[in-house]
Amino acid sequence: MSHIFVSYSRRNLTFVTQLVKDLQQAGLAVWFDQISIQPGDIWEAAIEKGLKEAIAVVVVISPDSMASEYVRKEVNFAQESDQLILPVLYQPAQLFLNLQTIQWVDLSSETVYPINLQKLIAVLQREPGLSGNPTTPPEETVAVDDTRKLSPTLLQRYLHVVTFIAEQTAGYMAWRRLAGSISTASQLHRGAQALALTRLNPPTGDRLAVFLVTSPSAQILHLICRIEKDVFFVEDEQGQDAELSIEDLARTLRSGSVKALVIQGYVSMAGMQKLLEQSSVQAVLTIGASEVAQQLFGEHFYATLAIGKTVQEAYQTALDRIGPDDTHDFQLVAKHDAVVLDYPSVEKRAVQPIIDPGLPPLRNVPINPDFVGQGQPLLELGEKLNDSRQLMIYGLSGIGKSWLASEFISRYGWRFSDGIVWVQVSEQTRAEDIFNQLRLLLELPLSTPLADLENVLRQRRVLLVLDQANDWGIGTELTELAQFVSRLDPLGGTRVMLTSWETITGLSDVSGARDLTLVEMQPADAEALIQKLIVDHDLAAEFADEQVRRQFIEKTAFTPWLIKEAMRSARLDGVEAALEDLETLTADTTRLFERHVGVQYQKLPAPTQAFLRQLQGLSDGFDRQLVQAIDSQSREHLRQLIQRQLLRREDRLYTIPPTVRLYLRQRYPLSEAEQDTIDQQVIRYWVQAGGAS
Amino acid sequence: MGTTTNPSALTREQQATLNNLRGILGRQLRPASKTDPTLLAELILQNAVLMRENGLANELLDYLQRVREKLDAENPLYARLGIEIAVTLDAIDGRQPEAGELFQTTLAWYQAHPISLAEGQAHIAYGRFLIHRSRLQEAMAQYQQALELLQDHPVEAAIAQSEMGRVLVGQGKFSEAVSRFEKAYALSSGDGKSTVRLLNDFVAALIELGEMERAEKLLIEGIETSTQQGLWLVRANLRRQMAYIYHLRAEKSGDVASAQPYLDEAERLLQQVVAEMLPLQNTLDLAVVYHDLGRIETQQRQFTEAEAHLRLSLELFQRLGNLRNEAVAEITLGTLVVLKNGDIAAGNEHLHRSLQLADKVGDGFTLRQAAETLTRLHQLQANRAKTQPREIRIQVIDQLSFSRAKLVEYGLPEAAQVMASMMTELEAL
Repeated sequence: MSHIFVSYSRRNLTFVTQLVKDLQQAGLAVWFDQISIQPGDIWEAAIEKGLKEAIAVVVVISPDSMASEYVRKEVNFAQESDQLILPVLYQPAQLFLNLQTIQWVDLSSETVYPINLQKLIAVLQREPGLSGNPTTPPEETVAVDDTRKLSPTLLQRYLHVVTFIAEQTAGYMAWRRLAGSISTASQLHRGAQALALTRLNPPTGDRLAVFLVTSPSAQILHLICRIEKDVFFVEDEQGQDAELSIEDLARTLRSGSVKALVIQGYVSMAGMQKLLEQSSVQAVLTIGASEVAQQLFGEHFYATLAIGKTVQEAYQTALDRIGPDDTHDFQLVAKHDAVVLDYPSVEKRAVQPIIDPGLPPLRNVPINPDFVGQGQPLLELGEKLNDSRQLMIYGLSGIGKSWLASEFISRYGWRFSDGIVWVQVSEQTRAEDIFNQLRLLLELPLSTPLADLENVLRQRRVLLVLDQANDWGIGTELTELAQFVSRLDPLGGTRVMLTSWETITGLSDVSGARDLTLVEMQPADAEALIQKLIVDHDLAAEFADEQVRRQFIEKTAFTPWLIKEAMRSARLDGVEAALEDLETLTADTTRLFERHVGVQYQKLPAPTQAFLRQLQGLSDGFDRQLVQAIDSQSREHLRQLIQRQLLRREDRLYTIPPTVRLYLRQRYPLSEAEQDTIDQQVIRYWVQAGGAS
Repeated sequence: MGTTTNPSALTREQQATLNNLRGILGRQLRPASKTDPTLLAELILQNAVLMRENGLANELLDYLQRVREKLDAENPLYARLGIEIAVTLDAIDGRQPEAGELFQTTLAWYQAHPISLAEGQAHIAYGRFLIHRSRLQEAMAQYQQALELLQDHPVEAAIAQSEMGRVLVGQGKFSEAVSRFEKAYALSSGDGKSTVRLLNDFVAALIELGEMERAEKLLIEGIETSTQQGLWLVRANLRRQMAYIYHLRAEKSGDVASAQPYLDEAERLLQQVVAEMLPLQNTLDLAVVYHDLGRIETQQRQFTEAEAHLRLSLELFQRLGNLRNEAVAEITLGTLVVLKNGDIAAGNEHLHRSLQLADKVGDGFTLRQAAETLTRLHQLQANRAKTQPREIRIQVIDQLSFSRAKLVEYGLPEAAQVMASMMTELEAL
């Protein structure tokens, strides 16, 4: 049976019972221990079964649940088992770290409950396998697809918040949290003024200054950056740290319409006063404390402003919503007692909130929120891409090539103003697929001849990323692509970036191409990543011994992928076993990945091994329904394969990592008859389901 | 100003599916394969639209032809594949004549082997092919034949009815078109997606007939249904139609005061359409909405907002390389700058740019519109010059002379003659 599992603390039973009732009324199947465990069932076994069979897990956040070992285990299990996790906020609490990267739904007050419950239901109903009749979603938030399409005039119909994020390692998550707050804040009160949030890219002092002069609508500046001793660390054009003093910031804020400055971080009271006195802003707020408190404060602060209250009232309302322990981190100074923002007249007010990430159109670009370190290769990548039409990132499997490319886009994607296309190469990829992606990005008809496409690209700034280009299986198609790249104008704005573990004949030697060889991380970066993962995986106790930690770091050969895998093994099999595995693996670092795959493969039960061998019969990724047609026990196999990282999941798509595929092909190749059987199963499934798409 | 909708790029999931399909077809279409070819044929047919819409017509054609070779010519799937091959050939430059022949051969086969659903669908497909060749009467005959065959298949019959409605709209036969759309609407009731997709044309025909209330009622229903179905672009376009209705009501109002509430509502609706279109990958439609918004704001004398929207729309058309719409936007912007600042010289520049673009793309309608607006501006300029010093009159005569020469160059002798008359009048003073 397919259902939702509710993970909660018994101390919140009244709230949870109501939530379960509401979800069931929406036609959703909910597994709730209070009603789903039958008399005579063994409690723990029943819960385990309920959890294993769940498609989604709703985690009720409260101080009690976040202190509960059961809830922690259930969340960990859900994460490793590839289940959809949906945290809902009942009471503010410090979240488990592995919940912090997931957007939660605020159900913490009677005001927000009915609105956000509908959002939760809508998300759950979209998950395949969960029954329910679709309901009309609440007013959607508009996420702008291309920042150049947004009219500054339109923003005058909003309460416009502009954000400036110069957080090198956590910029993406900071943006996501703020965007979530603004979206929720717009919808908390019926009839409220809709909010618009725009992000400034690049996060340089000059960009901020120009924006403030040219944008008459921005009323609030929400600043997120590293702050040390009242010095703000922003970026320069190359992405390096640049300092902005209180005086510089105040001078910049003398122009423009910004009335309130919200600073995420600590600034001294003297610094806040100086900002107030030397700029034209009327209120300065600092918000610190935990990320949960920041987000909760943000939601209620902006929601209260959206109904026309003063900055002081909004501050107080938001302060009342967070725990008393955190309030000292939230400070406000203002020029007078009642700072009121400007609002458009009622008939001019926009209805839907707008979120503009300040980026060009991005197509199929993956996000890696836990990027750590590698600052130098990032800068080098940017420099090399400036003066060559093609850049190939080489490096051993698992060294972090795709990770680096994706982080480059998240930090410097704004440089490619006409957009970025990310193509995951497979053995079946055709050159025409890539050209079509480019045609669609530029909104050209698909019938546009290649020569015309090339002409357009000469005048545009587009980045094409071909990830795992070494997987390309059809030689003639590869030649066609190489010819296309060689015809790109080396002085034009369009660039091609490829990742590959080896040189690709025909493509690597395109004239004017450059390359970057990625080696292992710097020891300090590796240590930072390990520290982050220890916390994420809740392994502090296991790594309490400094010697064990040191030994572990050294044995990972500073390879990001291996660090992640070893940490996962430590969780699954214990630190000692993980160390043993590392010992075996790093004996020969040239075949590290392959050996790791072998070790993990051998740990699988025989039926799961057989299942994985069958999956290599599919040329590319697949969804759960398709593999169900191949093996009815697929759910359990998928869980195990994901745990061992022999399979990856992105949204609803499962893919076999290239090295796993290579390992299987070399060790356990499918016979023609086996391949035929799989093909038949897939064909029958697709025909019955009404098409592959 | 027309719009087109580009398909969205394949998502990663769709691309993966396509690659799996390619792998399977690559293996199973080999001569030695023992896989039941009818299953393969079904699989290819089910995925034909996805492949064609994503620019893979040549690859699809190869699969279709290879699987057809494995089937007996008497197998009904052989005929269905024939129609699909013809549709695919129609999408490939230079292969259309082959498509026409194949349609006829296959339709002839159906006459000897009646299968109502497949044959009906074949007539619809051939109808579309004929529309692409502007052979409208023949297309209508094909749709009529389809309707006769599809009496027990309401979904397919609705398609034939709505396509006939579209042809009739193109011919200006709005009453007949409405009657077709009504039938299509009734046949597809219960299928929300189908009904809202035909609403755009249905409502356009009703508006032409002046049936505003009925059009508005349908739009309200359609906006609700498209919201429930998650058809965001459809919803935005329906709301845009609603704005158009209010705009027309404003234009039909006797005076400025009574027009104002209609213009306000039209503006509010278009602002909402902009917000709805911002997350969609469709710059062309968004640019058109910005243009419409700028036009309404011009009428409301909100010149600053109008100029910002018109300039943005122009910028987006330029980025898309859409010269036809750029030419139209230049006319609107030319008019605006004159109304806003009284700057006739700047207005003329926009209109000359419009003439140049319209001429380049061979858009006679826009060319004439630009010429008319240019003439009106020159008349305004000439009238003003009559009471101004001689040096100014000489400058105006020079500008008229330049415009006259251009209008002759663009093949607009009547408009050029008007310029000449104005020049004579000014020279005589």
